[in-house]
Amino acid sequence: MHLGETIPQLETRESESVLSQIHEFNVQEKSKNLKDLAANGIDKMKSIFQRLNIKKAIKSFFKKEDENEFEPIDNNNEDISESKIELNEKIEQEVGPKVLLEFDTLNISSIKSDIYTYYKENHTGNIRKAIVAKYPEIPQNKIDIAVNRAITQLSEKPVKEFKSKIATQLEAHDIFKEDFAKFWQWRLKNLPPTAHAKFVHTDTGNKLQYENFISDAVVSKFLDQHTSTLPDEFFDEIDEKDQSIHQPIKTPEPTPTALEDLEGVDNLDDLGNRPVYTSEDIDNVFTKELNEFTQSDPTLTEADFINTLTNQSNGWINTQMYDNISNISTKDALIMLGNINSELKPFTRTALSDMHNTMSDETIPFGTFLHNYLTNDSIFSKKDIHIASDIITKLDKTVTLSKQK
Amino acid sequence: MTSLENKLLSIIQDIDLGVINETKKLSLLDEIGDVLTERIILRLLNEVPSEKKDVFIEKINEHKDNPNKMLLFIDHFIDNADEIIDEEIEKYKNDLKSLQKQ
Repeated sequence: MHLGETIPQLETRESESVLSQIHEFNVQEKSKNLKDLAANGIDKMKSIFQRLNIKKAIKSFFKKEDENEFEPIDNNNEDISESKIELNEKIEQEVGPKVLLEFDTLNISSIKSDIYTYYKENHTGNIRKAIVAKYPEIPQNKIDIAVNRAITQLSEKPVKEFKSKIATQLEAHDIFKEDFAKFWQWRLKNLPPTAHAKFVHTDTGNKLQYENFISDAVVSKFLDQHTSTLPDEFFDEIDEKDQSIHQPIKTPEPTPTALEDLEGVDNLDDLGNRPVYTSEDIDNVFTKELNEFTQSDPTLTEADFINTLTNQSNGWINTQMYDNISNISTKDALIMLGNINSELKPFTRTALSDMHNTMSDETIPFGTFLHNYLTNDSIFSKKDIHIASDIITKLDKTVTLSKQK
Repeated sequence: MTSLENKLLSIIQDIDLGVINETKKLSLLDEIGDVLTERIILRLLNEVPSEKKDVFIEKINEHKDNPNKMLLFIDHFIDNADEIIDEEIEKYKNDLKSLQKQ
């Protein structure tokens, strides 16, 4: 044995001694802690330091063992950049083929291979531009729909995961049945305004209601703000979650096929042929939500419900969402809404037909038109509130996606 | 609690471990993580108002096998949970330093 092997062995023995000392300390601590926990009725639990992210840091730590230092996990810088790059790469690799599938549903599959070839050869990072350049005869709204749907499919995982994350957070809020003020404060801080009204008439203990207030608006806003900057940790955490959390969430209503969805929407004149939903339908929705609201707290009345919704509607008018859609022309807005017809609630579809029939000036800002259409005075009716909520959130999503391209 | 992992690693960094193999370091981290978790829960239990203790215990037991859910619960149930966790980590670090001086 030569000298070079002896010195590390000596260092190892010293390290073993420190290690042993710490181990003994931990064993004693653990024994004492478990007794104290048991005395308070608390079971042995898994370590809160078990998250996957730490394993990455530990690897980094070991790589730098010689320097006896580690690289801190910086979720605000490096991980985010990597995540962004990964997402972009994923979009580049996956959106193209998905768009082609969407074109199948748009009944223009005959040009599918041409588009894909063109996209691969002329790829500039924006498939929409590539398709428009190659096939100017395809209506742009159809291209938008195909691309948006492809991106939405790509985003299904984060949407599902976000819902799961929110549901987990809300589960913790069962306790706020006892402290409603605190619950109220939390939701104001953590959810965008459009989701608040839905929160109000939700029994916090009823998981089946989660879906009601985890609305498209919440999900889309979250995705708009965070999808491209989510650190890996977010996905790691979700992967570890108990899958049962998905079970209480209601299955979304089946959506019509793409062809049903799109049929005739290029022409505003056809919007009037949509199925008509009566005021009775709207009343049924209102009654159902009112019941949920009053059942969540016996001291609440219908007047409270109306007040809450009315206050909320004022909130919508002031939100960024409303600003986003208020200045586009009424004609463009109605076309866009027609294109997402299947995503709208039944009573909104009916309103959409009426809007088309009552539109006298297609160039006026949609915000002005919507306000005039919905109300003759300063207070929205219950019907108006539902329609405004649906239109503003869904149209904002469409406009935002369109601007991102 | 995004820096929770860094804080745990900083404990190891503060200890002069010299050269030990990876398995032992990982095992040590697990051990420290367990002890710290127990200390943190006990400390939080003391901080929770008496009228809410039952709910706290019930939820901690419910999430005992799911640290992520437990953290989310703690984060929303106790306003200054982050501060308390930081304090407990610091206390533990000091305990280890005292141990090494003995």
